[in-house]
Amino acid sequence: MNPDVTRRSFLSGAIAGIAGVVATLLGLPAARFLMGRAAATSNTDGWVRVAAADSVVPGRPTLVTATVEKQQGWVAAQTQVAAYLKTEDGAHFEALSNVCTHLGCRVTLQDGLVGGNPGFFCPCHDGLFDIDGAVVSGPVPAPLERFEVMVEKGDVFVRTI
Amino acid sequence: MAGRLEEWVDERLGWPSAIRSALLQRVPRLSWGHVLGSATLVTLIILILTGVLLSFSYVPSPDEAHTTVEYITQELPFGAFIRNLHHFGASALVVLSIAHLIRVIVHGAHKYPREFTWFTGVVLLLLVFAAGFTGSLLPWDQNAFWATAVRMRVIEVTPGIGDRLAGVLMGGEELSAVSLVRFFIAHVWVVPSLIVTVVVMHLRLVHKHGISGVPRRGE
Ligand code: HEM
Ligand code: FES
Repeated sequence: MNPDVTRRSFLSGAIAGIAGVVATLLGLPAARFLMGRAAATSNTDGWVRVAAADSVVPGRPTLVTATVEKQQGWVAAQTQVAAYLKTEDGAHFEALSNVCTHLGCRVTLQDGLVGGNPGFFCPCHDGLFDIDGAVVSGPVPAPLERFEVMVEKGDVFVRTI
Repeated sequence: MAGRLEEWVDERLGWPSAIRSALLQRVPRLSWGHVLGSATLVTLIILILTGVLLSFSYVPSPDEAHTTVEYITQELPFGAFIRNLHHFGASALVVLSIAHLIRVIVHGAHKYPREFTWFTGVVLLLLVFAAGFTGSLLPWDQNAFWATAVRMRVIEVTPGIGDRLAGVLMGGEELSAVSLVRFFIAHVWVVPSLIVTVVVMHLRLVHKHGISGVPRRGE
């Protein structure tokens, strides 16, 4: 018998131990339950058809949109993806995100913004990007994001995830 | 060190002495039956915790109630575990409350001066039934719907106020989307807050009177 362990201290320890085990058995599942499924899964492999190649005017970025279905919790939700498509020759394309890199508002193409040339303007905090998406002025920290693009049988596909 | 910290907290918040006076009571000779009240309490706590978790992913509308319940059990990690704890915990709470009540009668612990402990206990038992009644509609499947429809017919035969009472509970003349929201709010908000309030009164009384021991022959 260890004289330092009294009946009372043994029982307090045992109760605390059992409470700890029960709290863990409930707490860990609870945490996983609240985290839910890791991420919203998309029904595509990420490639979305956004436009017919010949609908994009060479030399001027064109805003294209498409709907993708995303599983958000128990709802299969339709969400919009959008991109500015640019081409010089109608065969090679670039795609710029229209999401401002500052705090996520949507940018729009406007004429005469950057030394007389068109640029992307963000109305939220006056962020300004040039036609290639590079930072010109305002609080924006980084150039507009670029998406992967591919052309197949006359259709333009972008990959936004 | 621990002693000084405890003293510091105690002087300012008074928690350590409150906990000591709540837990370190002298008790008479007890029986295993005396664990039933605590078992009821622990089951209630588990029901509240799992209930809060479920309500993060449950939507009380006819279009989505069943979908979200399926989503909880089929898709969410540990969803089936948490739903089953809540489901079987509810039955356990009824069984344990009644076992606890029988223990109290057998030991004659409902008599002077513990009448109000008994009275609050009866209120708790009725509230436990109310929680089960309102909760069982929420899965919104055939079983939930028709079981509740039958119980509503039973409520309607209450003398005098039956139709009114059923009407208020259902928010109309039959079970509908309105009823589902009513049952949901009653189940997650009204009944649990009443239960917690009455449990506090019940435990306050248990503490005030002290636990009664196993009666002996000749006492
Ligand atoms: C949610 C339901 C309930 C909870 C959480 C609960 C909890 C407790 C706890 C922890 C005790 C301490 C003593 C013991 O374990 O025996 C107790 C005592 C008591 N309970 Fe309950 N109880 C509930 C329902 C009821 C019901 C339904 C009745 C009777 C109709 C009742 C009547 C009593 C009485 C009279 C005592 C005093 C017994 C004594 O001093 O030995 N309780 N309750
Ligand atoms: S969000 Fe675009 S400038 Fe702030």
